Amino acid sequence: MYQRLSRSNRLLSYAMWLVLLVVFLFPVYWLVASSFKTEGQQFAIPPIWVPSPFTLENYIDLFSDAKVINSLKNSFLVAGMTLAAVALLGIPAAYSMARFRVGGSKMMLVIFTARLLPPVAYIIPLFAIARGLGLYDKQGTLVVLYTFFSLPLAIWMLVGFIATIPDEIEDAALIDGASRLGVIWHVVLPLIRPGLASVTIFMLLSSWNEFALAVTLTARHSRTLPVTMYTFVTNQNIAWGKLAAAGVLSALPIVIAGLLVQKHLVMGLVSGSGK
Amino acid sequence: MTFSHVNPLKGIMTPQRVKYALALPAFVFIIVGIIYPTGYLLYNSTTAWSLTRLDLGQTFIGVDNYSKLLADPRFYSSLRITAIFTIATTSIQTVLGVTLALLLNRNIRGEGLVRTLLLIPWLVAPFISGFNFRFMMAPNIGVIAQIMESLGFDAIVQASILGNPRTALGALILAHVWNGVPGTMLVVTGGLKTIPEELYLAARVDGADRRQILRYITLPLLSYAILISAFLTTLFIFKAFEMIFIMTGGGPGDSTEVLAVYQYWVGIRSLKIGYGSSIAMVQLLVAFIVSIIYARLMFSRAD
Repeated sequence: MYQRLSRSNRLLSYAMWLVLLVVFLFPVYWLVASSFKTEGQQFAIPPIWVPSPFTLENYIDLFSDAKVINSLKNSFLVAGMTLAAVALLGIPAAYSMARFRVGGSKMMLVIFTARLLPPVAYIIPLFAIARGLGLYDKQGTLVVLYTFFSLPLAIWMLVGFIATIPDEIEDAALIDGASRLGVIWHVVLPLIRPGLASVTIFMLLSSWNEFALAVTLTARHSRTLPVTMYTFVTNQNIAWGKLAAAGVLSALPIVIAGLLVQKHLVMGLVSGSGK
Repeated sequence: MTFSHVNPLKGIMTPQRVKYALALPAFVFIIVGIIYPTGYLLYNSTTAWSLTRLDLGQTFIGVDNYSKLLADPRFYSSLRITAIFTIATTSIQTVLGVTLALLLNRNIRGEGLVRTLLLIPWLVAPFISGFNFRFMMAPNIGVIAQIMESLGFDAIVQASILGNPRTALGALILAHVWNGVPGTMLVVTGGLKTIPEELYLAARVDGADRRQILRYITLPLLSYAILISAFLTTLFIFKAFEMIFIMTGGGPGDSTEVLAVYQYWVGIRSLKIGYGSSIAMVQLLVAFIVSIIYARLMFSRAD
């Protein structure tokens, strides 16, 4: 509503924003602050609002824990492989759906609905299948499942991006003798780079930060970072500082990347991206 | 991976075949991925199968799991808690999200920055928020307990927020609202941007005040965006699992045990695959009905 606000009204707005920001960002601040406190300071009375002395011991602890290193590796591997699999399956399919309307609106509806199905309802059959086929505690199992649960959203978003590219640009390359795959690789992908970035964020939201499937389907060997963090809690002594440091590490890449592509977030959101 | 400019498959792949070949792997993957686990889930729900009694194997028992479900008080309790949790979270989040979107759409300098900063809670994964809130809500010595104590709410603090059946569900609702409200704000802000400026100008020329503009222009034109975000929130919250699992695990007692958590305890912890599957089927069915309505809503607008 483009209407000049009076000075007092504006001041009121600023005051209100301040309250909002404090309420909404305090938990995030607390997580970050706790990651820089010693264990003894975590539950001090009164609370220690600003860590002092500022300690890195939690991060050092974290990186000297072999289990954490192993699960970090697993998280990287699983998220990376999921991204690759989604790209390999999703980009050609989205291209075909956008350009040639293969599958038509029926397939679009299937894809849309598939994205909305709750993964958590599938935990029991997936657990039974994984055990039955000897796929329990394997990184590959998570990759297949994350690919399945992210592919519909990726295709949905990519169809939207690819549809914005005019046919003529591709026709020129095709006349020069390029193959379809060549056109996708050399012409289409460079043109939708910003779109690809936001698809990537959503894929990471459901692989790098996934907890429910990972906690059910992995054990010592293939645990990802979220599951290892859960093992910190079930111990007798909860190492909150270390847990906070791990939380900051898991959240940071997504928060930064998400803020960078924020204008595309709505699109992924309304087409059913959960977290 | 390199793609030459000369088509190596010329002759084998006619243009017609290429179209389908590009889409086929993903389509097969998605369709098999829906049918196989769903079919298996449905089948398991008609069997007696406990992984703690492997000697008994898996035996077909028809609808027995479902009749058992209908006589299971814990199932009814989890249905009731799921309903309260979903309706309360969705209502609070929608009202708050719409309010925030409206308050941050007044063209005051700095608005964009505030909106961006408010997105952060939404970008923090639920499992991280879950750990963080559990930490902050620790009884007596947690930071929230200390803040509440200094504000004079000693009684709640002493019983612990997450350890008290009367406050645990409320705390979970607030935690989910915190995590989800930026999403609502984002969708509603998107809706606000589509309202043409001329409408406001015309209304003001006709002498409408702020309240009337909100009541007769903004809110009616926002109704679709609000509806979309309310459906989305319902879907997300109905399947919410991670934060509840981490913060309370369904307790104390079964005061925060939603369907998602109940089926997890039965199917994964107690390894009663058959019975757990019947609970999961109920969950899937409800989610599917809401999803179909939502998809229709989205598609009818898109066409």
